[in-house]
Amino acid sequence: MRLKIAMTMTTVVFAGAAFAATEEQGLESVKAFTLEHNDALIVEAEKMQTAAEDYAALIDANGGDYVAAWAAEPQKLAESVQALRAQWLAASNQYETIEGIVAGIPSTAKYDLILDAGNPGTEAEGVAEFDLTLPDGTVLEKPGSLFHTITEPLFWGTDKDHVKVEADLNGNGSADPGEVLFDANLALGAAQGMVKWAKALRDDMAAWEPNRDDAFTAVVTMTPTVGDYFGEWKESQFLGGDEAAFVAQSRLIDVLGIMGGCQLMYSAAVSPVVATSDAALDSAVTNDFDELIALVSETREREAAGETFSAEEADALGSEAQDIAERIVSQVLQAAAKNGVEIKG
Amino acid sequence: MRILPLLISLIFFAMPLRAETPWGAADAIRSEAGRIERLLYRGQSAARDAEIKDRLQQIATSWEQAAPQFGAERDAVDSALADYDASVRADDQAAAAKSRQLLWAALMAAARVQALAAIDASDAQAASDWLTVRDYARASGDTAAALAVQALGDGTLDAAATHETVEGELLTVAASELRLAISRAKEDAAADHPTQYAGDLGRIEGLAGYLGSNLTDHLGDQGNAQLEQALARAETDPAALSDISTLIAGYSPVRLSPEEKLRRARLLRRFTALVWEEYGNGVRNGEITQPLEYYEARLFRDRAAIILGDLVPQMQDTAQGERLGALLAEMKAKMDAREDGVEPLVAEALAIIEASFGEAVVQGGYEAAVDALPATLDELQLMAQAGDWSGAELKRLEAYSWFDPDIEQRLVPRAPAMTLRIEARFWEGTAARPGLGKLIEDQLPVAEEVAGIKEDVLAARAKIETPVSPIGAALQSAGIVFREGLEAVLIIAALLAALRAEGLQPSRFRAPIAAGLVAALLFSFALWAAARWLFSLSTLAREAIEGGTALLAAAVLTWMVLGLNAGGGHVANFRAKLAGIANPWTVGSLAFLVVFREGFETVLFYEAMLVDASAGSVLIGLVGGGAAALVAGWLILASGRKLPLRLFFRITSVLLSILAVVLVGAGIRGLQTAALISATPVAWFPDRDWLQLWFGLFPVAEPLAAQALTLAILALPWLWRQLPRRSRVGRAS
Repeated sequence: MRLKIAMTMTTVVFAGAAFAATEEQGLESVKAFTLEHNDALIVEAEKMQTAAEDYAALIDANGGDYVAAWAAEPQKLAESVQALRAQWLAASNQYETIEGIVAGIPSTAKYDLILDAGNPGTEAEGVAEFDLTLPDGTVLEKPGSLFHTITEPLFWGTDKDHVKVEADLNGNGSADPGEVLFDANLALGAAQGMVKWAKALRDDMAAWEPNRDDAFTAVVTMTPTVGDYFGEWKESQFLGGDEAAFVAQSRLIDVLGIMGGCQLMYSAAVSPVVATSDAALDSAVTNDFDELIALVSETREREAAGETFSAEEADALGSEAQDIAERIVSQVLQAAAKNGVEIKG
Repeated sequence: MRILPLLISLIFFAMPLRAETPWGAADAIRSEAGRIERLLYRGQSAARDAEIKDRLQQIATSWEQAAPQFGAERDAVDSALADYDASVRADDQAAAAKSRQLLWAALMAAARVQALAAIDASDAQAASDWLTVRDYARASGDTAAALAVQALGDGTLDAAATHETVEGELLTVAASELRLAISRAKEDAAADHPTQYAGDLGRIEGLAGYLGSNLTDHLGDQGNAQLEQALARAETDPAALSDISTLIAGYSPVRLSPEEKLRRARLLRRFTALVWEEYGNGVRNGEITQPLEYYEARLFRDRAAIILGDLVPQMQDTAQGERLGALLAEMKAKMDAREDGVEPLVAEALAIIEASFGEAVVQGGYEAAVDALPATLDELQLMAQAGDWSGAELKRLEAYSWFDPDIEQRLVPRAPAMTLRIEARFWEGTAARPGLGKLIEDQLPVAEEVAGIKEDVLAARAKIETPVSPIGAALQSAGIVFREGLEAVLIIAALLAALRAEGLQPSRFRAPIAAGLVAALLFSFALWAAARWLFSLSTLAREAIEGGTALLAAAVLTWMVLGLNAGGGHVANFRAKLAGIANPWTVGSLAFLVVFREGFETVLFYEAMLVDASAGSVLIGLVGGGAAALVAGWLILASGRKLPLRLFFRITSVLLSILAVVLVGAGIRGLQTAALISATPVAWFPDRDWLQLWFGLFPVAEPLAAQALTLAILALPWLWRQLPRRSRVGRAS
């Protein structure tokens, strides 16, 4: 499951390169790929909503008393929390597969903030501009992204404000860190929000008219974020950090999804343009994307296998990834200048 | 499910294709060496060693195929490759990291020779291919070399100019990368990262070699000896890095053009400002609250440092350059420790940048505006798409501030109607095509309008950047003064004529009018000078001053017209009171207002014209246009002697009424473009450039309503006279 994204992206990139003979075909294939995974995201989000409804029903059956609910239905509640976490991962992985594309296209970038990357309204920039209405009528104004600000810390117990009671979910005799029952009202409202905004993204993505400027802009905008994500990876609990978010799975899974999206956009939609005017440059960019994806994939493979990284190696991997990403961006900027393409933003 | 074997096999499969060309081989060698370096971090194992061996073989095969095409330069690469191969086979991680960088530098140097030779032979295709074996500008986004080679291929640039541009960019990038490598080496030494440190030293040595005679000529014999000694000492003593920094502190491989220097200075200011913007959002009370912002703050600091490296050698006050470097270093230290105190460092750095590179860095001017406007519009679009409408509105005002005055001043003399059309697109637009202001207010998609404005701005740039002939400049100059001055001349002439028709002596008013004119001109220049040197006058404030002055002038004029037209009979007393307002003081004030309202902007237009037109042509136009406006005024005054008094009085009254209505339209419009009152486009009123330019009639509800109201007020005396007459007629019948 963990490397499905990389597998899918690699397959699609090579398939895209094989079939996208023209820029137009490439752009359409990117759109079709994104819509396909957007549909899958909606399906997984709906399943998450069902799981949240089940969880809320168990709590409601005990008059909203979490302690009583845990005493009455420990097994069902534990299964319910596990189901929510599993659905969160399934939905998140579908989104991560297309995040590099969604966030890179100006007309859909707002959904990346709402679903995955946005800040709460208390921050000055990068705010997810939406309000979340919960089943009890409470309106959370600009609460941050649905995946990483709300649901991930909620489901994995790092959002201390919404922990209701500690619970030995895995039945090992003690409530370990993260083993908690959390606010059912927020869980259900966020899951409903996830479905709503995933559908809204689908509508706007379906309306998107693929074009050259957007394709170049997506690659130039999103590829350099690899360094930021590596930084988050180093800070995450997977490498012994104390970040509240990115506890569900390694940030490298996100990196793979995002960089895979950038690679797909390049190989399918940008490469046909660059190759026409400068085949050598196109070959160099293609090679650099392969190198970047390989670097992240290898690192994730090793992490998944339980290998540890020295501080220098983790730093070197991040620096190398950033260098390759900056090289790609510089090369794409050369191609943009030569082809009169406008990079937005 | 294992992705790694699949990727490796795919990449191996692709390798022979890439290695068929020498530039493809160089690229393959670069990435294989990177893979090997990552493998060397892992613990020794049979699988790892086998993979390293395979990759070394791939490198050897690639080089074997490509080497003959590198010509005489292949020897240097052969040597570097042999060193690299030996260090990897010896499993010496640090030596391998260093020799990897030296190998890449040797490949780049060899490719550069081939690229420049291809350029000299006017073979743009080969030059372009060889140029892929190089480092690129990370922070400044230079693309001049690629575009020069493209121009060579198109036949629009000769080989010598292309050679110079390409060589200049390659050397400039190498110098930037050299500074970055020194900075990274210092960091890696401090963090105790021996392998990365060795790689950094290899990069420094390799880039110093790549810069070759350009650097050695700068350093001189003694400097070169010191550099060699410092490089050797740095192997064991990172303190030697500071000596290297000092040696190359004043080094710039190519003197930047003034335009390029300004572009980099603006980037330096932008990146420096962003450091605090991001850090302030990313770190609170010593904790990282927003990781992405925190990392971006560090990235922007690094970019600022790279750009500063390009600029320092060309700063007149080297002490300021050193201080900037120290400030950036302090920022880095504080950010690494997640400490407070970054903001004052950024503020001091910005002040130094502005003092060192002049106001153009801050104020921007036309070149900055045409660069910044599309980017600002893009940001606006992104904010609107994200549903951040208040942010989008702020961006709209920022975008408008780039258009007016920087672009507008240059465009008005050449295409006044186009200026009005573009300006309207930033605001309410038209009923059929709402502008950005209206779209944002109604929270509607802005992409189409943003694209339209960009197209218009491109068209405007084409007009502005087309060279203007001396005759053209004179005509443009005449057009400005005639258009801006005619209204004032007509008002004053018609008023004098009407006063004379009323039996008042015009000579009483000559001195106050002259005083008003002179005062208005002095105030216009004073305001222009103050806004340039003493304080910042925002676009919106300027529009508000213009709009407010026009409305004040309209009020005074309307009052006077009412006074002059008030009928006799039972309104005689009222008429007498109104007529009393036409005294020298009010007439002088009116003269001041009507000239001052356009005076400041006219000075700005002339300032813009003088950028690309000769002073002589502009002066001829100024005199000619001014004379034409004065002739129009004289015709009005002279016609008073020919026409019957009653008819002439009516004509001047109508003319003054029209001018009052024009002033009201311009005034309300000014307040709308100052964002002080709303603007509602209407479909029923004609959208014509000439109506807007010459009569202040815009297809917008608010100014039209105000103009209708003014017209109604001005018609009151006539209505007043009509009413009793009809009553008498009614009673008689």
